[in-house]
Amino acid sequence: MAGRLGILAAALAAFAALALLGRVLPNWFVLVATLAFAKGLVALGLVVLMRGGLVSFGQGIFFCAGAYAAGLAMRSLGVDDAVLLLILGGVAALILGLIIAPLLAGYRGIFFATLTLALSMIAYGILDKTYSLGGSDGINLHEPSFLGYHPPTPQAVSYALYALTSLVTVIAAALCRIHFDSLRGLLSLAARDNEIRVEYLGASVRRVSGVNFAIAALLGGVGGALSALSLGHIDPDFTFWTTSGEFVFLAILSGYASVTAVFVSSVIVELVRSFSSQYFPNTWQGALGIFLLLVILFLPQGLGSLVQRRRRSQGESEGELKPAPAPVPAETSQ
Amino acid sequence: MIHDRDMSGAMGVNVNRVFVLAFTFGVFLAALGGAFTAPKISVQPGISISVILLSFAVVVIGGLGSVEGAAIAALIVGLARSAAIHLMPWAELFIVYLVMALVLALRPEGLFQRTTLRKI
Repeated sequence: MAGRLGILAAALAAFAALALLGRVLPNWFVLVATLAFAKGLVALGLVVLMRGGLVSFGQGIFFCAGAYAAGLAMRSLGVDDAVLLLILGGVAALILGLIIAPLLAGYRGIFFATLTLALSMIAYGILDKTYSLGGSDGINLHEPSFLGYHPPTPQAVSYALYALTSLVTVIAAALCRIHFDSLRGLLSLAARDNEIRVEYLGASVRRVSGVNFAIAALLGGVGGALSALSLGHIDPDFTFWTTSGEFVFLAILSGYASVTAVFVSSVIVELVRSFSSQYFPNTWQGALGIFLLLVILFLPQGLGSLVQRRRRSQGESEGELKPAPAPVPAETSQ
Repeated sequence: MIHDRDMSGAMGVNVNRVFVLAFTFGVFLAALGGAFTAPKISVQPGISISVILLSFAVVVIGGLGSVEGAAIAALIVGLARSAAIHLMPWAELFIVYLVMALVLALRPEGLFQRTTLRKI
């Protein structure tokens, strides 16, 4: 219980720090950070799935579902409250997740990855040809309001959106941390290791993976709605496989040890992308590629492993992060 | 080897060498495929993008580790794409994925699935 209060306190402190930071930093950074946090939310969902041993290569479908739910609600229903749009996006993606979850339940490893990829690409193909939803041009969104507050200037809008994104991000990060430390979260790690063993011990792998999948879908939808609001435009590329690949990359980059690492790596990648496209306009893909290569070579366990390494060197260890205990020597056990 | 890396290492298999050889051979085949296709298409730096996904689809439809499966799956994917372009152009974007989803729905491990090891 004390641990949970500690996490909530840390989340509140992080939100206060982020809100203050947004006031001080230039507007372009606020925009980049909003987008990075929104994408980080989707990657966090993927980390939740990965802890259970499943890698989805089609997380873009939830990202896209959230974005389109928000965009259509704004265009057709005239909803322009950011908080409401966010909830709508999350719920739409969650419903989609619950619909396709039974279809995916029997698949593991590369088959799960390619089937999710196939579903997201089918969604891409359909959206691309559905002209009532904008086809390949997508939909433009106008500026949202925030619980009745209409920010006067574009800067104020982007700051308000940044503050909302930060709030959602810290809440999601704190809840995920609590989930990771809970029984079900720890069972995910066990299921990743050996499903038959978990089933034999009396737990349901299906339920554990189902809950993880639902969390990932919800986070994907919320991230999609936030991205849609901050970009002001949505198109079928939200569910294209390169978008999904970006989330997989973020999740691998951050590793599964730390929730903070997800957002840190998301901000870093977004900054590297912005700067390299500004300074090396023709070779920015190359610059991004070199950066990714360096991270994979020197931090194969992801950025989160830095936190883990420090914790270990301090002698403080969490049960789930500890290396397996050395086997008991034969003489003593007999 | 693929079932338990540690175990095969303990039994004297040089795991790293097997990986390096397998990877090298895979790269050789990929390069050969590229050289064969190059005269028929326009070559540009972004050429890899579509090939990655298509080869993923082929491998998964065929079944992991199955050579004949990969050959048949490549035919299926190629024919499905050509047929889609000819008969229903709107489906060309996702026909490969549709075929992949259908095959996986009927045979979850691909067309030529192999017996898998259950590790207790």
